[in-house]
Amino acid sequence: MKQLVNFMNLTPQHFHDKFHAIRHELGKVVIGQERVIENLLAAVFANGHVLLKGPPGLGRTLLVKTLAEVLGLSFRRIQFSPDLLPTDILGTEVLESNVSTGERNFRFFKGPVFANLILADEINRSPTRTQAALLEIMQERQVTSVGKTYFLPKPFVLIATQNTLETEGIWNLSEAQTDRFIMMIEQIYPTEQEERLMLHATTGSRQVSVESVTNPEEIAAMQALARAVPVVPAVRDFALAIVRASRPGEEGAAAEVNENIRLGASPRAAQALLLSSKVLALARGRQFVIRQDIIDVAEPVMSHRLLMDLRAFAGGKNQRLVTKALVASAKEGTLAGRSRWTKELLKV
Amino acid sequence: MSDTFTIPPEDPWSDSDLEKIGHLKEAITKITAQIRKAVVGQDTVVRLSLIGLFSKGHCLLMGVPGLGKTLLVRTLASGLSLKFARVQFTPDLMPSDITGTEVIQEDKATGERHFRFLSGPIFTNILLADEINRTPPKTQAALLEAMQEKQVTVGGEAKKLEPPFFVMATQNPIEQEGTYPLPEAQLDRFMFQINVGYPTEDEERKILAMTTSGYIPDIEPVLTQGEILDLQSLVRKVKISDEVITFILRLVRSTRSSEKDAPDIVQKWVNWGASPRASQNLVIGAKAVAILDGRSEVRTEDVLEVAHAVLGHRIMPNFAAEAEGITNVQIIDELLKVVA
Repeated sequence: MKQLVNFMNLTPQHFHDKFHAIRHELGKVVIGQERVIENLLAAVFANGHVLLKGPPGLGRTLLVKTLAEVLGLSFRRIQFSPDLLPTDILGTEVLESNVSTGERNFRFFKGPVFANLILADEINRSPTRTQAALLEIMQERQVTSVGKTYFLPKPFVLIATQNTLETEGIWNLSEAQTDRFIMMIEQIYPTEQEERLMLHATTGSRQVSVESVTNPEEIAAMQALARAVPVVPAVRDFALAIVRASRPGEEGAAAEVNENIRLGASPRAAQALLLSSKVLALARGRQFVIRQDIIDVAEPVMSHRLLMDLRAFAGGKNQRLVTKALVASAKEGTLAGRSRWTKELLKV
Repeated sequence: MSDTFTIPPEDPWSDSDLEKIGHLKEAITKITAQIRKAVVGQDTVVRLSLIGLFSKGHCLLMGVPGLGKTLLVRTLASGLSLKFARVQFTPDLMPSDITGTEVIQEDKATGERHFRFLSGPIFTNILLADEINRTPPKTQAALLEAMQEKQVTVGGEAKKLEPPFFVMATQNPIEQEGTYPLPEAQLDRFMFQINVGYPTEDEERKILAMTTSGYIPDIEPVLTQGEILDLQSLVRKVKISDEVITFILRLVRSTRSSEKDAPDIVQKWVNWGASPRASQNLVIGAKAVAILDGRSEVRTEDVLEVAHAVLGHRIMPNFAAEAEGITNVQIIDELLKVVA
């Protein structure tokens, strides 16, 4: 295999080592949650934003804060509440006067969003106007105030959480908005063994500290390297087949989809599948994407992009089951009409 | 990951540690006596508050107005020679009213203007956040963030709070107009929810006699700030056996209706169970109970003592349970029977 282009003298081997060093450091503080961490890192290095879902008290803030520490990034947590205003996030203009000249002018005070890693906690507790302000900067990575543009630091990664408990006064994100997140990662309760380890580790007198193993410049280079990982047409078609199979009424839609799904995944989903599986490929010591990488990111990438039919929900179907069916139908679809050689490659 | 992860062993107890525990037991008796001078009854509330303080947790006091919650917290603060501040939460309170504000100051000599930080009431040791549910969520969030991080961020600059930092928040349980009850995720940040009930007739008689005469209680400080910090770090060194940990795990895991082997009453009545934070708080709370009793190892009874305060606000009964009049207290009592 030809060596990839160098980015700041960063080789795929470097990427692989760094990725695992990061996982190791995180594992010192965050117990269990291996899949969550792997997906989270895949999203960060694919330069995407993440929706984190799960019941409270699973150590979300700890996870994201430790991630920032290990990655050497600046970190801010923003607690969303019904009375939070766009300016509370972005920043405000303040009137200042210069005594010597007597002149008065506005100065921009940067809000908490000016950091590398943002934890937007319980984003659905804020009204839509505030959410929209946040979603806009996710896309643009800049804040505009009174005609002047302020750039956010690079890399800029936003991790948003949603309150999943049934409560009053929540404004859930619309489908168009959740589509902007590269992944939705679901945290579940730890196993008994993990919870036991966690208790021992957190209620004693020893304090564990983590070291930062990388820095913003290096992360930017790693992101660029991940983007440059090649994907063979057969594997790319496989990703495309998953996404296309999710659209009800379209040609190639899976049988499962027409009954259960009202709205399928957008082209953004296919981009997200490829970008995040490229990171996994490098992390697993390969310089090319195989089908298994795509299968591994399919659930977090697809599930928040499938709008379920209410009757299907009531019948016990959920996004996870549908995603499984999509992967299965894509496996069959992409195998048909391929040469024997390609079939062998797809089985890797 | 779990096979590579090892927990560092605890340091053994030194003689001076044991001496400190002995001293603490004495001090607790003295503090309780001091508080009795001003507060009638409420023994469990006082004890749980002390457990919360030594566990570095925060407490939420639930009770109707006029039960002497403020008096209790203020007396506790003066018995411990700690700084005390009280914030009355109102619908128009802003985050900066709690954390502090940047004000513009002019230097008369040079005519230059610059910002100076005026610290808010949160810069204290014991903070009484009175009627926290009367304030809008943004202000609540400012307090909860400071509770968690033990620091406040003003004008982009983080300012550390001086330890020990202990919040006692009160919430009125009656549904009133113009209140913003804390959502479940925010309640989870309090270590204990302590229910304050009405006094008995005898107690109320005594309260009347005490408060309508010329009697002014004289509270003497018993522990210093340094001693309290030492004891807080000692709590984490208390030993806990695997059996007790197993008991705690079984108790907490039994509250989650999503677990396959959850007991029937949870499957039937509970919407949402307790988080891993609950198990952490049970361990630390039980350790603090042990140390308050002058022991260096946790017993199962210690867990039982804090079980209701830790789990009460972390279990969400479903509509069916509410309609049947089944409360969290009943569910927890039942679970304690099942698990024991």
